Amino acid sequence: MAAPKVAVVGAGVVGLSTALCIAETCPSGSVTVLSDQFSPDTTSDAAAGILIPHTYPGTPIHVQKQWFKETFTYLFAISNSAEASEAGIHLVSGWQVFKNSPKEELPFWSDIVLGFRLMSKAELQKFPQHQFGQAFTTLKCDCPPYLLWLEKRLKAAGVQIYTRKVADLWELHSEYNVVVNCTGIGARQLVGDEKLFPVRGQVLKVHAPWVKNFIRDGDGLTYIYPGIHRVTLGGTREKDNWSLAPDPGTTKDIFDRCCSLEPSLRGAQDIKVKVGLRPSRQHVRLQREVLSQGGVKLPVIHNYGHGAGGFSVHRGTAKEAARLVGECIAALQGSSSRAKL
Amino acid sequence: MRVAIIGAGVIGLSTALCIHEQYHGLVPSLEMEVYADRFTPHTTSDGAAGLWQPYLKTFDYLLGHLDSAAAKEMGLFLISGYNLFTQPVPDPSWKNIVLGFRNLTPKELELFPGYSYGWFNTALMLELLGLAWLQESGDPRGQRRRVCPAHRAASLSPQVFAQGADVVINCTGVRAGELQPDPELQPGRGQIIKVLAPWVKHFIITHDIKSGIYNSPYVIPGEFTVLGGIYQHGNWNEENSAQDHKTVWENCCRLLPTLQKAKIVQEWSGLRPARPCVRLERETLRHGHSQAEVIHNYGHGGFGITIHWGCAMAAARLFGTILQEKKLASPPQPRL
Repeated sequence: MAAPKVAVVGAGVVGLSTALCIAETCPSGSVTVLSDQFSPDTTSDAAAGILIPHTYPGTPIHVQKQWFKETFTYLFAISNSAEASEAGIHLVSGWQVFKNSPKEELPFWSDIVLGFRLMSKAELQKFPQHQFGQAFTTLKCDCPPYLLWLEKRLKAAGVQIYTRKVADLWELHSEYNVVVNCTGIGARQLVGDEKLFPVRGQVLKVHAPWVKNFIRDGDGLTYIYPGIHRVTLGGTREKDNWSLAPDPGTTKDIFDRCCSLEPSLRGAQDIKVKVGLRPSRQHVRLQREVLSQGGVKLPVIHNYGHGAGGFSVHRGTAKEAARLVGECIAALQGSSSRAKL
Repeated sequence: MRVAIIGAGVIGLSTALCIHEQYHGLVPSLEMEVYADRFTPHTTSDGAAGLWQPYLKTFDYLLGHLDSAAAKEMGLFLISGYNLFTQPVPDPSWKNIVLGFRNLTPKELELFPGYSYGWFNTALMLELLGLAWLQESGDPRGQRRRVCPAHRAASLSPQVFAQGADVVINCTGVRAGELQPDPELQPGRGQIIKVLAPWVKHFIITHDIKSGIYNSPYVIPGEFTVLGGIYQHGNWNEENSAQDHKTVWENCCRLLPTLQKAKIVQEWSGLRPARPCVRLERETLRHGHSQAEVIHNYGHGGFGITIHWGCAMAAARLFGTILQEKKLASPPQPRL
């Protein structure tokens, strides 16, 4: 069989990082990225890109922990290199604060982030409405820089990138041997997955360079994440809301909630509003499926449904998807060599 | 009651502000003037990175302003970061004053090869930004500022006494010796590079027992990121040195490799007003039949911003003592 051709559909953080992993681990194959949207118009571009995992109810904790650890380790190395600023990756310290005691005192990721510890009463004085808190140092991936850096790495690895709207995965069967589906919220329509639903998030990206620490309310609704040039203020979690249009009332509500956590934000300038639809699911769909029509087979690796936790686990799931692609290629090469006999 | 403050760095301005806040209500005739030949952005304070590694009263004062709308104008904000050592050291006396003090974990130390021990804490930055705020604040009715860029006060006595000052506050920093000889005061020359590196969100201060304080690289983010690590005792040269630039750049890039891509925006040299201890005391100077009270407040070395408010309050207390003495000594007299 000639060099196996792999198509990755989707160019958000999951699509691009998966394509890169495949190019790194399956050197015999040729990889192509197909997407109708690229940075700065992907869901990933609305996200702050902070590495604080979301817990998927349907995935074993040890698997989520492994994904997070792989992602954190990978980004940590880049964050301390000369490439860090171009890749948009940097360390950031801060606090997660709770009005009510959290369900678990120690989240599963507490030993992966840096310097995790419970906040003292003195530190909590800065947050008079909150009774409990955790302090730690983690990583942030700024978008667009991170996506643009991934694209640059992909091109250097010989990966082709095309703008193309894929209406049906089957349409790729004549050009590609393996398809990887990283379409995020687009999978709802593309493969008809009704278990996938949007959780709408509106955020503000503001100029407030004096804010150097992150602050997150443990309820996940209010957060302040300082990036390289802008601070992301959030947010909302609106299940089944498909609207990508910014809502002015929501903007004011987010700003007020963030200012009550960090009053100096009243001086923030140049407020930009973004909306993203978190591609949410009970668990990430990370599995192989073989499509077949009229005796022709097309192996598909699904890697979508990362919801609120895409950045936190993207490298871990990309590696797993690449592993599954490797298995597909091996199976195809095995059957094609059998066919030669 | 005429008060002349000489010096418009962080010490001069904060002392002026502190005295004004405490006494303008008690002493309706209080008139204050600030004399200086250099104002922001040309003072020693302007080159300071502005990081606050703690001292008591200043921390409480600044913390109280943190949530105010003024914080942004003051250039006041919280920042977390690292103090690095090549060997274990005892915890500092200020560990309970800062927020969240702890030792560094092994994984964190992996970031800093060559350092085997360290602290993490959240501190306050007063970027000088703050100096412009200090200069603008205060009751415009009660406090006049005399900008005298051409005047170098050649000595304490003739100039300010000729103006009829009752109290002189000497906040002249490294050049206090020109007003009144002080062999204990020496310049501690520093040189910094300001770069654009907005992805750096932590301060990093290294300590080398052998090379001495401030002679070990440090990285302090603010509006720009300040790279430093030079301390030359007795060196009056305010020109930038190419050798010092090389030292600072190479050491800081080794400490934080991401800086290699940072764009250099400015180089700056300054003279820390170094003294074995801060001179914070009263002195009575006599000229003919009149006398003036002097309060000295200079010699803050590399930690002027750190202790400025505590010193300003101490100076204000000395001022209060002078007021009491004048009331006790004689009733108000017509001015000669």
